[in-house]
Amino acid sequence: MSVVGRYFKDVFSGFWALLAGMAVTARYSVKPPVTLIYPKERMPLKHFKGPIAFTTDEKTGDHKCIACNACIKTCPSRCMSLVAQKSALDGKRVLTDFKVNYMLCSLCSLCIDVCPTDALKHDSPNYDMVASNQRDMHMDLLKPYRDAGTPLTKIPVVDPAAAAAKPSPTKPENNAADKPLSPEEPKS
Amino acid sequence: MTGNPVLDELLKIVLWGTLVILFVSVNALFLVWAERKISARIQLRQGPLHVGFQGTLQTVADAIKLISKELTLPKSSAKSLYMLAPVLVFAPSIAAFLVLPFSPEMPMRDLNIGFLLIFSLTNVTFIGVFLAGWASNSKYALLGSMRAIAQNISYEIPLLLSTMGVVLCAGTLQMSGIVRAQEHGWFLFNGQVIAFVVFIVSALAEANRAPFDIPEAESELVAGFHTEYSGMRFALFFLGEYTAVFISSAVAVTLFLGGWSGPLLPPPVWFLLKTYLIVFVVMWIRWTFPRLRSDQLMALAWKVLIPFALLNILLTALFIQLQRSLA
Repeated sequence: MSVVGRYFKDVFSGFWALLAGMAVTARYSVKPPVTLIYPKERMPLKHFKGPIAFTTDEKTGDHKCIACNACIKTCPSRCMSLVAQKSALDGKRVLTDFKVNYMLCSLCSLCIDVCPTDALKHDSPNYDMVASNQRDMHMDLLKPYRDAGTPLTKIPVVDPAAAAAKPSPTKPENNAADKPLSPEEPKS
Repeated sequence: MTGNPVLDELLKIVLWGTLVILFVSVNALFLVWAERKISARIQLRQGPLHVGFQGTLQTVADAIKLISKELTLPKSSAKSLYMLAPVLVFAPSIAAFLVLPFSPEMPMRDLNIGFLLIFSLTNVTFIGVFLAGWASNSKYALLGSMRAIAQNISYEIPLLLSTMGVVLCAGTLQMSGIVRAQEHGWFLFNGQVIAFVVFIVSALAEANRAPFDIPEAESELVAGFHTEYSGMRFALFFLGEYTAVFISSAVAVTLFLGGWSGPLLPPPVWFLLKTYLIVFVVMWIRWTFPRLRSDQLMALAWKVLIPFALLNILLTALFIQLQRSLA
C-alpha cells in the first residue's frame, strides 16, 4: 500500500475508533446508575454478621428471652449480661435487663446456637454502627421493647430490695455489661 | 428611550452588557451542573443530588462558596499581572457575544468581519493564560501556560482553515450573512463534513477541553495555569472556560448547522437548542477519551487536521468553480 493510502487508512480507522468509543459511553449513559444513595438507601447484606439483637416474635411483637442464662454461660468473651427478677404475679423469672458489650463481642454466634427459644440473632442490617466512646458500645437489647411497651416488659416485678430481704431462688444476677462478671458465676 | 442618541446608545450598552454577564453566569452554572450529571451517567454514577432538584442548585452553592473565599496572593508573584490575568481571560469571552447571531434581529452589532472578530477576541484569552502562568511564579502554572500557548497557536491554524470552506460557500464573513446563506440547506450537509469535524476538534483544543486538556492536566500539573488562583479569580477562569465552550459551539452552529433557522420555535430557541446540542457532544467527548500526550497533540494538529482542512478548502473551491463554469 502506498504511503498516502496508509495515511488515509490510519486517519479513517482512527476516526472510526473514536466513534466506537463514543458509542460505548453512550450505551453506558442510558444504563441505570449503580450508586446507592447511602443514608437513604441501604444495601441488603447476606453474609454479614451484625451485632447481637433480640428476634421479635411475630405474633406477640415481643422478645422471646426466658432469662435462662444459657447465652451468658456459653459466651467465650463474656460480653453479655442479664438481670432477671421475680414476677409479682406468678413468681416466674422475668427479664428486666439484657446488655451486650459490643466491644468484647467476637461475633462467634455461640449464644445464638445455644439459645433454647431462638431469641437471639445477628442484626445484619445494622452494618454501620458507630460510637464516639466506649460506653455507647454497650447495647441495651431490651430498649426497643421497653420503648414500644410490649407485654413482657410491663409485667410487675417484686421489688429487688424486698426480694433480697427474704430468701429467694431468683435473686437478680447483677451483671451490668460494663462490669466484669461476678466470680460466683463459674463458667463451664 | 430618551431621544438623545448618545444616552440611548449608553443605555443600550449597559442593558446588553448586564444581560450578557447574567447569561454568561447562568450558562456557566448550568454547564457545570450538566457536565457533572453527564459524566456521572456515563460512569454509572448519580452526580449531584442533594441541593435542589437533582442537584441543580449545587453549582449555585459552589459559586457562593467561591465568592466568599479569601483571595490569596502568592508572595513572590508579579502582583499586577497576577490580578490582570483572570480579567484578560474572562473579558474577551463576554465581548464575543457582541456578534453572536441569536436571531435575525439579535446580534448586537452585525459586523462585516463577524466571526473573524470572535477568533481575534478569543485569542486575547491566551495572553491572559500565559500571564497567569508567568505571574504566579509557580512551576506548575508556568508549565501549564507554556503548554497552553503551544497548543493554542498550533490549533488556531486548522480552526481558521476549516472555516474557510464555509466562507467560500457563503461569500461573507458576516455572521447573519453566513446563516442566511444556509437557508437552502446547512453547510454540514452541503459538503462541509470534514470542515465540521476539524472545527470541532480544533475548538476542543482551543478551549483546553479534554482530551486536549494538557495545559491543566490534573495528574501532572495540579491545575495548570490557574494552580495559584483562589476564590473569585479562579471562578473567573472557570467562567471563561465554560463561556469559551459555549462560544465555540455557537460559532459551530452558525457556520455549519444553520444558526437560528428551524421550524415552529422562535429563532433564539433554535439557536440555543443547537448550541447546547454541540456542548453536549463536547462533554460526551470529554468523558470518553483519555488525554493526549504533548507530541501526539502536535502530530494531530500538523499531520492530520491541517492537511484535511487544506484538502477541504481545495475541494470546496474546485466545486464552486465547477458550478460557476457550468452555470
